Amino acid sequence: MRIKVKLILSFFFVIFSAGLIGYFWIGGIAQNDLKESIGQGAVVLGQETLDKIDITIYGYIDRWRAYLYNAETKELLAELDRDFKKNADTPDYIQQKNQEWISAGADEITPFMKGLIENDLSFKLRERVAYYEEKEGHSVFSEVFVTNAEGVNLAQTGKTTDYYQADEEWWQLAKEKGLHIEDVSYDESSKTYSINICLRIDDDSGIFLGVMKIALNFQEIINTIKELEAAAGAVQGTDFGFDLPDTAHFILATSQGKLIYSTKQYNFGEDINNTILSKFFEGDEKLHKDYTVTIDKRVQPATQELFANAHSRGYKDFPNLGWFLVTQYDTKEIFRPVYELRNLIIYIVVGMMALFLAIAFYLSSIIVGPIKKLYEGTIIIEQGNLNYKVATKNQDEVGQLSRSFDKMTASIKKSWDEVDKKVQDQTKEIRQANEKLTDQQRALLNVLDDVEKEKDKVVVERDKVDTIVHSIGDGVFVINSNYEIILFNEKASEISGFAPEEALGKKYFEVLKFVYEKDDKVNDKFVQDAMGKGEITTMANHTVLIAKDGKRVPVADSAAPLKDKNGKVTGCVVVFRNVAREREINQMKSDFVSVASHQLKTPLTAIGWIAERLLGNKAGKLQKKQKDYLLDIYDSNKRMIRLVNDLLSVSRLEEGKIRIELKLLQVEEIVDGLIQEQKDLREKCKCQVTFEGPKEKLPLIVFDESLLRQVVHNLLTNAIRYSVAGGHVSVKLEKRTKDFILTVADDGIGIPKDKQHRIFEKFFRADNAQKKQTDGTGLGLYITKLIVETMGGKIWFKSAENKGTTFYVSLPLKGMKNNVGQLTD
Amino acid sequence: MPKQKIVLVEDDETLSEVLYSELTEAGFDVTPAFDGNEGLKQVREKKPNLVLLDIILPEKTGFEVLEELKKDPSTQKVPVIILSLLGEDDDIKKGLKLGADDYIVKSSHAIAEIVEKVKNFFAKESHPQAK
Repeated sequence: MRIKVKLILSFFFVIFSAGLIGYFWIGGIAQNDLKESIGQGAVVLGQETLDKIDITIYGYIDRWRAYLYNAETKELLAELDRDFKKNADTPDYIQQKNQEWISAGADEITPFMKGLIENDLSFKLRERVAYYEEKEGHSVFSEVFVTNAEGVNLAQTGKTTDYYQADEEWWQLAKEKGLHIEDVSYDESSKTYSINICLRIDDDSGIFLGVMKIALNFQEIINTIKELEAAAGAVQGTDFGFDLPDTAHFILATSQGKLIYSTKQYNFGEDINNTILSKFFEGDEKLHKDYTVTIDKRVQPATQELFANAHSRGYKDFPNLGWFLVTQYDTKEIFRPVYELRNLIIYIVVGMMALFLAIAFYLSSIIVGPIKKLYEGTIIIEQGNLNYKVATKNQDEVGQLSRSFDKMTASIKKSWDEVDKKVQDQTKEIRQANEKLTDQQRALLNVLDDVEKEKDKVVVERDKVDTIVHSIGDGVFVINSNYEIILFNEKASEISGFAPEEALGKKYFEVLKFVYEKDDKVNDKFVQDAMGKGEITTMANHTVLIAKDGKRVPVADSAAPLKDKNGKVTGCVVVFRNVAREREINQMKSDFVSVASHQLKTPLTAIGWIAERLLGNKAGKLQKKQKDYLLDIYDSNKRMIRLVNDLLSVSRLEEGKIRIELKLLQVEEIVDGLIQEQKDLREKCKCQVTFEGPKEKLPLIVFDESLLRQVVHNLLTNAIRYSVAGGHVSVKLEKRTKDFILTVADDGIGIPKDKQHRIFEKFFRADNAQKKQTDGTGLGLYITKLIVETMGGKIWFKSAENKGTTFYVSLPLKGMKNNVGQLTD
Repeated sequence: MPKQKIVLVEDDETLSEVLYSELTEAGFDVTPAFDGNEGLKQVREKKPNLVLLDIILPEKTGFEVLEELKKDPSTQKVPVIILSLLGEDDDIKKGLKLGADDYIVKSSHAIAEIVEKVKNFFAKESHPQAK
């Protein structure tokens, strides 16, 4: 919705609401007030009318009473009463005269009647009646007569129905109350409606003299009402504060609800209690209402009417007549001012709304105009015209917005121009780069072509590798970095009993259980090391694989890490083989060596001991020659024993079956001790042995003592043996960061250059060594090298023939590990 | 002073004869035995002052004999010197562990040295007795 529409709708809503509130609030109050005023006015009008009726009636009564107290009238009355009393000599006189009176014909005037009608008072009464008739222009009183205290007629304007009145109710009531007004009645004698007024007559001292009855012609009352009715039709504007409508109707009724007179169609004497009067009472007379508005549904279309009720209030000291005067109006007429007021309010509200709408239109145009201009500006700028300016001069918020917008446009234009320039520059660069890229792409395509060819080669290679892996004689499996088996060859399957599909994708340790033979503890250190340290590791000796069928298969071999080009370990290849047969053979070999050496040593020992006994002359004295030969036998025998011992050592070392007993050792002390032990040998060759300890004391290092001793012993004895007389052997220990170096140097015969490469071979002896020392076994250096390697160290040498030899042994400062080799129990 | 009694358990006849001769000449009362069972029997009968025990023996090995001797209350106090050709550290340790008083590798020693060792043993043994 557009702002303009929104603004107008907002205005319209406010105005409409205000109009509605004004209409219902002001209009409601004003209309109700006006209706109340009109209703009360109608009541007042009825009341005035009824007051007028009261005044009329009581005015006549007043005048007749004044007439009765007139001295002349009193004189005449007294005279007539005296005459009556003169004539009434018998007790039944009144009865008799009354009987005569009633029994006379309707139009008949008896002499007795005539005497009464034509006496002075009757004449005076007629004169007075005639006076009022002449004055008002119509008959006011239809009949007037006077009785004495005994209730008989004394004077009368015309013939009465009877002579004796004291038996009548009205007479008794008048005597009792002083005044009695009868309801309107139809007088047959005068053929008129009349109101009978009955007055008690007293003398000056208050003694009852008689009763006067006056029949007031009802026309007099009707005239009063008609005057008003006539006025309603003719006169515009009364002092009631409203125009009396010409549809007003008047209904006069007695206190008993009997209709006296109506300007509408009602019958005389009709009971209107339940029709008209009931409108003013709701059950209880206490809830009396002065006026009421009712809808009369009896006529169609239903009309709304207002009924106003007035009561007779009496006059001066006269009591009220007990009459009601109901004024009936059609509300269309009487409430016209109300409707006019309502219409006026509507006109005002509608007029105001129209005016406000016009203002709203104008205001919204003023507000929306600049916004619209700004909006059009944005469209122009959006189409690319960045030079456009909204240029609003307004000082309000929209004006500020427009100016900010202009500023923004200007700065966008500036940025745009800069960007444009940059884009042009960059486009140029991109074009150049693109050309370069095209060249590279071409090159890449060539490479891809090569790669494609390579790929074919790789596939061939892979197939080859697959074939090799699967046909390999050892069990091979490959695990990834999650230890899941990704390759499992046929031999692995054969050894373990697991089909490749049972193993592939599973963690290797869930399938293949490598355990130590002796305690069944899991042995996966070789895999962990390969994966963790990225080193090629070998399975510890005496590892068994528990096959699928539960069989324990002794296995051996290694794990090699797989590395990506960054050196990160991505898995490892484990190669293993069933060593059951191998171990059997080894065992046999080992047993053979043990048995053979034992079997050899027994006779050798026997030879040695017997030779010893012979030399000790235990079998008789020997000749010199015999003794010399026997000594040769004895020495050779000793050499044999040494050779057998060496062979046994070699066999054990080669098999790794040596008992390792680790101890913390101070290497300097052991070396020094061994030098001291070689005293005999040293003296024999007349050479010097010097020992130079390390500058920094070596720490205690974990080694097997007998192995360390054997290394030092072998090198030291060799150095001494192959020294020339008076030679010098120097032993040195040197600490380095991770290891220490044992140097054993001699200035002896040296090793011929062409034999140096064979020096660590089993049974090898250089020619010059053979000449110098005939009893060597050719196993010393071989054993030494085996031990050094077992201890995690290295051995090497420098030598020159006839100048001397220097052996170097490096051993780690961290010592040796326990799992390098173990001896079976 | 009565002769010290020695039971010599050695299956090789030559070695046994040489040892017997040397020890008898040295003044000991030597009873030879040629297998494990016989060795045990002789020790129980003779109640020697020393047993010289070979390891590699028929019937029962020297280690088994040693074990049985040490289990039997009547023989457990009899000193035993192992006299074997097995010269490995392992064998020596095993022998000493089982309760041997000494371990002599036959092939490494002249017969005179062995006799000397036996003599020295008794010299050491007698010393605490004299006390």
